[in-house]
Amino acid sequence: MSADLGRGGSAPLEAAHPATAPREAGGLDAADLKRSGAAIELRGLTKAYGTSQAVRGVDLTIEPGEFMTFLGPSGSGKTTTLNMIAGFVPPTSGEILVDGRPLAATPPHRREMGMVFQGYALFPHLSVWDNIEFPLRQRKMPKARRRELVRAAVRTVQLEGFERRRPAQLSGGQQQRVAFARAIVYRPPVLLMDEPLGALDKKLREALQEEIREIHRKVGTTFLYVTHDQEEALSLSDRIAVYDDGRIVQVGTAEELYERPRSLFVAQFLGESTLLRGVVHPDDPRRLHAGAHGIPLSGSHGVRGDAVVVIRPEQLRLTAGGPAPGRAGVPVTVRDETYLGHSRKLTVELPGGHTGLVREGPGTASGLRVGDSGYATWDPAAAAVVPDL
Amino acid sequence: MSRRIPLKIFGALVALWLVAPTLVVIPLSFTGQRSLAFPPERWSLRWYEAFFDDRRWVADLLNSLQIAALVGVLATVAGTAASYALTRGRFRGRGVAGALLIAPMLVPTVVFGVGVYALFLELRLVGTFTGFLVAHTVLALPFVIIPVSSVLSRFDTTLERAAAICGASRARAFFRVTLPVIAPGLLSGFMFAFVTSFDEVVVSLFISSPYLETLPVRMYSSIQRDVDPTIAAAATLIICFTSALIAVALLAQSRRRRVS
Ligand SMILES: Nc1ncnc2c1ncn2[C@@H]1O[C@H](COP(=O)(O)OP(=O)(O)OP(=O)(O)O)[C@@H](O)[C@H]1O
Ligand SMILES: [Mg+2]
Repeated sequence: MSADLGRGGSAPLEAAHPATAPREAGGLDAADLKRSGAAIELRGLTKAYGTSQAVRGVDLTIEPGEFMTFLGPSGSGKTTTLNMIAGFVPPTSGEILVDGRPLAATPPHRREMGMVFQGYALFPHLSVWDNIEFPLRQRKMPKARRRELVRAAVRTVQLEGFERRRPAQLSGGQQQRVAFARAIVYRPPVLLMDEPLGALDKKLREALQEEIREIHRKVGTTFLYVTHDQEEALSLSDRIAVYDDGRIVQVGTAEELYERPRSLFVAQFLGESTLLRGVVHPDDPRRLHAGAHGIPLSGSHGVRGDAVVVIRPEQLRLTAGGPAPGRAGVPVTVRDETYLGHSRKLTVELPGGHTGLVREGPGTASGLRVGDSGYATWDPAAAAVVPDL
Repeated sequence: MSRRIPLKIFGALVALWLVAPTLVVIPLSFTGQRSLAFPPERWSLRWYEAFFDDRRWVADLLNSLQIAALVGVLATVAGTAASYALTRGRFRGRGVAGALLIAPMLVPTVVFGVGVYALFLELRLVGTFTGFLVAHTVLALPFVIIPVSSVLSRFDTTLERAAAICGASRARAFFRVTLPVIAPGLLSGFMFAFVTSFDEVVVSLFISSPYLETLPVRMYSSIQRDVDPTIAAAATLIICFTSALIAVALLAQSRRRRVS
């Protein structure tokens, strides 16, 4: 469904942006796309409720047109941050700047943002059409223009034929699309989404993720997306800000976060890994002391003292003999294996009784079976070193 | 299905018991006799004639209708504003304010009537249209505040946030989103307020004058002077007006439900 999404809807949508040149221009060009998203900067953003701090000093710069995702466990402050950006919740301290202008004095209805709420928040007394037209009416657009824009938005979310229905007469996925159409119909420079797919089943989520990605590509709006689903974050975002307890603990692309986590929290929150605990002595940063073993490190990390080496399952190789020159390795015993079609996931026992995870593809099969002993080896440059808690 | 029949019979009996005294008035109003004897032996429309021929009965009916309609509007507007403040506001004394607004429903009406009379003497409001409006609106407020507060507290406030982020100011969000969604509560509030005023006797007796009285006041005083079936006709008219009002409201509500 996503393939012809933007094709039908994008041109009229583009024209909806207040700053857009005459409509006859038709299609999108790169300059238009650049112009349509706004830059957002958060500076020392804090929100305290009584003595408890929901958000504790968030600093973040979001590029125009970027797809930024807030990812974090429940209660970590994602919604609060989004609500401060939308203007629903006044910050205790700190600043929000959109295209360099501070927002503090601007009420929500003047912020020119679109928002998709977790429960959709469709107006129950209005039809699909009137829901989508609502933001245009607030902007006092002429009737013909409104009709054209609503029709384009309806086409974008593929709801033709449903215009006269009430929200209560739609399925969850259809309601979600209406919420989306209402948020993008006037082509806001910033689109905020708080777990927009949270209430949907997996199949529908995946279909709509595809659509959201497609629309983002077409409209060029800056997207701010909240989720606690790491797969969703990894597949949609340009960059991800990982939240923990009111703070952003790391910002980066999906790859950076996966391959170069800077804390144990990020390493464990995003994907599976094998953890090796030990100590890094200040005068020997290229070695982790873990019991009797010395584990070579790449040395480019800044961690001293208690440290953890994080190795992703696909970076580990099993061998019968010791590690090849240049590779690190620990002796292991295979405890369990799971076939995953084209790959195999093995659970191994590390020295000290800890468990590790190895993923073997067709080219990296070791032939080791459950009960066999051998070595798990890796390239020290492909492992992340983070401080232990 | 068959096991439901006893339940249905029981329900019908209860309903009959509740409305029977009211329904008895209707045949009485069509009696051909000069007394309120039940059942009537002859039938006629003469008491309706008597009602509509007497300018004072008609004037009082019109007074009651006007006052009730205006009280309905005033109490609905003021009660909705008060409910909004009570459910959304975060101010000191919110609990006290809520209790005070509900108080007219709990204070014995006679006590309220004496107080209003004393106050209105001072303010020269006895026997005035304004006086009736003020007193009845105060009495009707709780009947608006209770249903409207209940729909407001169930109202999903993210709808107002959604309206705001769509570009609607607070006022526009209220009128375009909140108000239409809570409209059923307002409608029942209006109806309760209308009926509260339309059949109010006790306080009205205190504040009426020979120049301005309402239909219930006239009925009450007429039954003390002479037992005349005209009041049965008046009572039947009151039943018709209130039933029509309730029917309209129910129809509006069921149409609403069908649409959504
Ligand atoms: N109005 C409020 N009053 C008091 N505390 C609040 C309020 N709103 C949020 N909090 C607290 O602030 C913290 C952050 O809440 P927030 O809603 O931002 O979390 P979240 O990251 O969006 O979580 P989730 O993934 O569960 O939606 C929580 O501990 C929450 O209890
Ligand atoms: Mg949240």
